[in-house]
Amino acid sequence: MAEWLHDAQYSLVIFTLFTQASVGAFWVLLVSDFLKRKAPDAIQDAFTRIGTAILIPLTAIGLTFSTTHLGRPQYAWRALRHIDSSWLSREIWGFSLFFGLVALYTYLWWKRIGDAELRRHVGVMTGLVGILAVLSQIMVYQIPGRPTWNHPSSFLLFGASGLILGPLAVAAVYSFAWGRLIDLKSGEETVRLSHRRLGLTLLSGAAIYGVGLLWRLNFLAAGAAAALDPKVAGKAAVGSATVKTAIAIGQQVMEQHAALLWLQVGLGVGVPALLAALLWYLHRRGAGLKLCNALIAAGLGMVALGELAGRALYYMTGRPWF
Amino acid sequence: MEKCIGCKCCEAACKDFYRMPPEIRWRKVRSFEVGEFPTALRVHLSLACNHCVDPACMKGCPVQAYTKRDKDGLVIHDPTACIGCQYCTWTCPYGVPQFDPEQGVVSKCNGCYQRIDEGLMPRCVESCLTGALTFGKVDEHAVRQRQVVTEAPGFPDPSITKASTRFAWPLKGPQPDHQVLVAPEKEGE
Repeated sequence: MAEWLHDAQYSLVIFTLFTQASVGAFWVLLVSDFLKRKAPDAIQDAFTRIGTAILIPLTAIGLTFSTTHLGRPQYAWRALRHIDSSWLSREIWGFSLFFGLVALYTYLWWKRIGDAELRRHVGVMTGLVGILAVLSQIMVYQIPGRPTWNHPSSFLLFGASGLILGPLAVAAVYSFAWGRLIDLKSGEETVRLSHRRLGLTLLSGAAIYGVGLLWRLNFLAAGAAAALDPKVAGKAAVGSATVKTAIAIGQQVMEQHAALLWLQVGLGVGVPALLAALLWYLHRRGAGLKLCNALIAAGLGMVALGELAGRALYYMTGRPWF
Repeated sequence: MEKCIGCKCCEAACKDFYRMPPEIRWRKVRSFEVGEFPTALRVHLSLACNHCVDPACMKGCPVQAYTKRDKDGLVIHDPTACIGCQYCTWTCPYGVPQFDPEQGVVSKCNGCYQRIDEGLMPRCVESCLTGALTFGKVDEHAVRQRQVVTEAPGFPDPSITKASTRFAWPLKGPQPDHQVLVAPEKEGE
């Protein structure tokens, strides 16, 4: 395997992004389900039902990639053993449970669509488990052993990835279904409404992601500046000052891979914000939905690329410091 | 740090005794520069597992491959339980656990616990030419050495996991400005 792929922990990049996207997508579908609770809407239900089709593949791909970095993947199940003190164990519990509940939720949509109350109960439970799983996933990186990750900005970055990727993935499925699986005319209003909501979600996600990224960049730059102060540079740090050495190493990695950072900023933050603005503008001008759908598909591709670059960079900055 | 000459005999003895693959070194000797000219000093640190009071490797391990012995505090890794997730290589600030791609598991210094149980010293201590390495109870170390500290140049913040390793700073050159424990004089000295 190429060394840079190993450094970038490609399997964990895919695992974290796919599972976060899955939780984000699930919440979009659950909210859609609840918004129509009082006034049932068969068209919206049809879209939501089709949307649930991506939940199992997204989570399954994520979980599969969680095992590919293991030295002995055949014993991956053992990771469930240490839930009392290991966040990694809690993370695996969380996403395994989430996967099971997602499968049940999807089954209820496809095979027992009339049982809406049960579905919503399962949905709420699934959504909460999904959030707990993502929180556990973030806690895995809140470790003093890797000071470049041990920062609250990780919460914003991981959370925002789900908030951006999940809704975009659902919107792409809606775009695909409209005209193919659901009648063009009857589905138009639902798709337009979903685009307005998507725009707001993307703006929120891009804002959170941007704040998280700025916070992290500032944290790395400040730590590196302290470590490279001419008074101490070149000498071995002692005690708590050694943490700054770790941050300086992370900052150097960031500078070496500046192209990934630009991709993260441009495609991970810029594109969702731009897409939200374009959707708002095009709908205001009454533009055709096909153009909007094409933009969503292109946006999903670009955002996914930006997220992959950003997450790879995140892992690369977590170098050993001793 | 006064006695270590950086010969890496301890590293070689450990590797030889446990027949480790070339890329795995449970004990590593690192060299650092401290102080300012004209009192600058080059020091060597021979380090393996610190057998921490609060071992981050053990807390984070999802498969409970780590145990800490009650009788002497040694942190032992069980390779048969390990699944090779490498999380301990992240959680340990000192870079102690190392992944062996050939075996698919992590391994680390177990403090030669089998030798300790037989009343022997760890191989690294036994092989040290200058007597720079000692092994024993932490509080006894503080009594034996004039200046025993928990911090050393380049050594990651020991307060993170309450590392059990103690360092005796060189008597000459720059001295640590805190955490210096001066042992009480023994009777008759």
